[in-house]
Amino acid sequence: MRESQEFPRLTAATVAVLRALLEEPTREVYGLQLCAMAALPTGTVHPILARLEKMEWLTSEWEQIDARAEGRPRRRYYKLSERGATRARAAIERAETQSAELRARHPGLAGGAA
Amino acid sequence: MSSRIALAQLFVKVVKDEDERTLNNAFGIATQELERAFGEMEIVARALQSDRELASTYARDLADTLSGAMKSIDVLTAYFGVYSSGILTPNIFSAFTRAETFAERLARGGPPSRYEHEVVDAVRFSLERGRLDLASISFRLTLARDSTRPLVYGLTWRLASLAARLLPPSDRPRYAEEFQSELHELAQISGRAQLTYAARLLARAIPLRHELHRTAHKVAGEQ
Repeated sequence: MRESQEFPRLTAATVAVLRALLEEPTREVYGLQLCAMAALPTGTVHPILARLEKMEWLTSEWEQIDARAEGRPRRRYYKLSERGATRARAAIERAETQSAELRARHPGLAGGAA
Repeated sequence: MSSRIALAQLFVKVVKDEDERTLNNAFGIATQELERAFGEMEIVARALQSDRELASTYARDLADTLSGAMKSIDVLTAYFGVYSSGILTPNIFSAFTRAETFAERLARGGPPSRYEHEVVDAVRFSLERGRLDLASISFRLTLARDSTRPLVYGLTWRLASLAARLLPPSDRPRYAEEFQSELHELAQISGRAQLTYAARLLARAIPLRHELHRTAHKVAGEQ
């Protein structure tokens, strides 16, 4: 799919990430957590998150903790922006429509939005 | 205690000791290289007064020394990326690029520039800042080591470090820290989970780099 200013390239992994984020649009999540929520392998979401951040669909910030007191490094948390949540819903809907149209034209074709 | 558990504990201890040695060596080398760079900087400044060709050679040596210092700092960054990279690297990197550009300019010949001494002062300033950073980091690491030391060893942190190094320089500190944080979390699961994660990071470093290049103007400056 051609990437535009409005919609990022919607790979299956991107759709999974967006769906996971949309389950609780105001929730802040970190990379590993997001992988678990989206059922993606660990260490695979950073390029997607960077792209979505570029589109301003996501914002990210460091966790505010005292690393020494917590006994662990701070996490980088990601959250859907208000605009991002709206756009993400629209993008998923669009991907699903396109996928349905494709399946209608080619009944033998399997798979989802790519 | 079974001999198998004892052996496993011994193995962990050996790996930790090896890590400690690597860390101490990296600090030692980075400190030495920086001290050497200061000496070479003074030689460049003196040579500039009398022999510009020689000054160029010395400036090149200075760039080499700084390159060595940066490699040691990379080791520190990989190990303690959370605490050091964002502060330490830019000053040394700045001194290195200035010294290298300066050496190339001198090597090209031509009449002395009135800015040359300003460049020398700028390199000196960056080196001084780098030295202060290193001392400060050393202190902070001593405090942080026991409680927040990332539980990441050997091949795993090398892979994660390499993945971070493949990213644009302005994004390395952020991602090095993010990777370290997640590796730390995976330590609760297993070393194998960490290794798999690090391998995937490396496999996706180029796509991430590609995305970051396109987003450089938005991501830079948020550290």
